[in-house]
Amino acid sequence: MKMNKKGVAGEGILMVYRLVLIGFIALIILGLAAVFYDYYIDVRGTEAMIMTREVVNCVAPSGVVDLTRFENGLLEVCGFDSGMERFYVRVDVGGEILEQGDSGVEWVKEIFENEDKVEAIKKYGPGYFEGEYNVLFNGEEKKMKVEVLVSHEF
Amino acid sequence: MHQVLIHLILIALVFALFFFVTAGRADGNEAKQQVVEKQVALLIDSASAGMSFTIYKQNMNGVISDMKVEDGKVFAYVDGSGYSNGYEFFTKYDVSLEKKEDRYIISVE
Repeated sequence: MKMNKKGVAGEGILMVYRLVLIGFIALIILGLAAVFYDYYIDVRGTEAMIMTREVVNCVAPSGVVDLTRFENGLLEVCGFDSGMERFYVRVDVGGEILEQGDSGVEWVKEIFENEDKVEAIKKYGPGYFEGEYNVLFNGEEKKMKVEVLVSHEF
Repeated sequence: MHQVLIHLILIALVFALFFFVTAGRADGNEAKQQVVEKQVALLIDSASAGMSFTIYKQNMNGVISDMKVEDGKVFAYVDGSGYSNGYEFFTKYDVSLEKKEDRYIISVE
C-alpha cells in the first residue's frame, strides 16, 4: 500500500496548527481566570499604624524626646535592622525632622490621593498612617507628628 | 489513525493542565494563603518580647499543611497550595516557629 506523502505532511501541519490554536485559547482562559480571580488583601495601613506605635515608643519613651540618640539612623536605633526597605518614616518634633526611607513614596501617595484611580492599580498605592502626640522636647511641650508610609510588596 | 489519537491525547493534556491551573486559582486557595500569611505577619509585627501564639493546622481558613518563618518572611501553605512568596514582617525581636502535631507555635523573644 502506497501512502500519499503530501497528504500525511498536510495532516501533520494541520494538527500543529490545531494544537497552537488550542494552546492559544487555553492561554486566554488562564489569563482571564488570573485577572478575575486575583484577590489582594491590603494590610499596609495596619502595618503603618503598628510602625507608628513602635516609632513613638522609641522616640518618646514616657513622652520625653531626645533626638541626639538617632544620629545612626532612626530605625536602626529603634532596633529594626533589616527588611525595612518598604517603609518611609518621618518624625517632626517642633520643626526638627527625623526621617528614614525612600521619600519618593510620599509623592506616590499624593498621586494616588489626587487621581481617579482604576481599581486594578489601587494596590500599588502606599499604606499610610499619621499620628500627632504631645511630648516634652528640650524642656518644652511640643507636638510630635509621626508619618509612616509603606510601599507595596510587588 | 494513530497520529490523530496522539494529537487528541496531547490536546486533552493541554486542556487538563490549564483546567487544573484555572481551578487552582478559582478555589480561593491563594486568598486563604494570603489571609494566613498576613494575619501571622501582623501578629508578629505587633508582638512584644515574650509573647507566643498558637495557630492550629485545622482552622477557619483551611488546613495549613506547612508553615515557615524564614528571612523575615512568613510562608504558609493552605489546602495543598504548593507555592508561596511569603509575606514580610518587621520586628526587633527574634522569631521562632515550633511545629507540633496539630498546631504551630510562634514565639517572639
